[in-house]
Amino acid sequence: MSAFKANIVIILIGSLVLWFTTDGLQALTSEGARRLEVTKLRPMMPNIALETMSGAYIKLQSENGYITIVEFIYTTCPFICQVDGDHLARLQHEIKKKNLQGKVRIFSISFDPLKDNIEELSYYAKRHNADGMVWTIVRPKIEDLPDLLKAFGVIVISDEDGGYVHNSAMHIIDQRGNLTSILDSNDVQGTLKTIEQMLQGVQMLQVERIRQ
Amino acid sequence: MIDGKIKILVSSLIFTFCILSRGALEKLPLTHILIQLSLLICVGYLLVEEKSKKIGEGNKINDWNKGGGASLLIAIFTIAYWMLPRSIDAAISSGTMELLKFLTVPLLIGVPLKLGWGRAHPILKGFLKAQAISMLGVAAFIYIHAPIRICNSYLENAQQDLGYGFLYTAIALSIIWSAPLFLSQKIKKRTVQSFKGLAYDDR
Repeated sequence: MSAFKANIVIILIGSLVLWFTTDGLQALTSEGARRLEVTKLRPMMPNIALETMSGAYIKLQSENGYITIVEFIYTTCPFICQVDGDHLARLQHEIKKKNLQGKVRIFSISFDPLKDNIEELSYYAKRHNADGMVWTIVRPKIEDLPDLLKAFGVIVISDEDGGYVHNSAMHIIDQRGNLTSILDSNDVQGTLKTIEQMLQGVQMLQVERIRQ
Repeated sequence: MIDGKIKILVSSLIFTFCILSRGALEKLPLTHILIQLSLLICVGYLLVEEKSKKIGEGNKINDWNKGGGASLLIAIFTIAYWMLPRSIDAAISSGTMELLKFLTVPLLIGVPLKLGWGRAHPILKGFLKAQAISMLGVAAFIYIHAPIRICNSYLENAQQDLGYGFLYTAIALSIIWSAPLFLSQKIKKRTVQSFKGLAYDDR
């Protein structure tokens, strides 16, 4: 083979490999890849039971066709989870303002269920005005935690101060229990827009069914 | 021959070290990328004997690796692949990707680098060196200043440490590679003088 041909072949193969591993240059990081994959595959989330801050149990998948916003936290988090809490407080406020409380709910799920007992959960709720209706602070059973994190693609690692670092984001689960989009945790407006689009989509479907 | 055997021995020792120290080196991105990956490149680089550098040379029609271009391209694309943060994340979270890393970094970066470098035109060598330094500089800037975590498996301050690691490597390489060019004038003069000296002695 001549050097010219060999070089062309290598450039083609190399470019193809890079193209496919980055999803067409769209995702260079694993967080980008996770978000892109969710919009394409819309994976079903496990229907595990979560203990709320009032001690009751609630299923991750809604029986009443709610859209569920999920954020992962640990309540002893000194910084990011508290800021995220403020974003979710804003989201809760907006949801109520738009009168969507019967259609959308927010879960802050603790990934540290051993330390985060019910008192800690309700203390975190109080600090951030989570009303327990639209926005609930919950914890999974410890044995469900690995599957839950894996399903969402959340990676939790310990930091140097005895806390944790994790890829924090707003995870939107549709009315059927599929994870359909992941947004930055400060993107309150984007989340609202996505929710409204999802609700409009449902309305359109209902109209179509009636027509048929 | 002995030289070649020693090289292969050193290469396999380094490879064994890389496998044994996996857990420790992969804890931090700095040691994972700058130490483990560099060592794995050395593993492949040492595997190639001096003679085999010239495979295909002389065979003018079928010399697919003329000027080292083809093998250098293989190395460049493989480097690009392992520069993707998601590849590094995947190597930590998946065993298959970890295995792929231990195979492709020596065999598709180290080996072809050695096969191509000796045959490359000095201008190509200079271009690649400049490219490596500037790429490290860009990566350093990104890793030091990124407002987000680039790898889900690593902490943000560890990511900054890697950025500084890239920066110092870029500075070190630019000194190592450029210093001889500035000093070579002296070397040349000295060589010329010693040759002249020899010539006078002969007379």
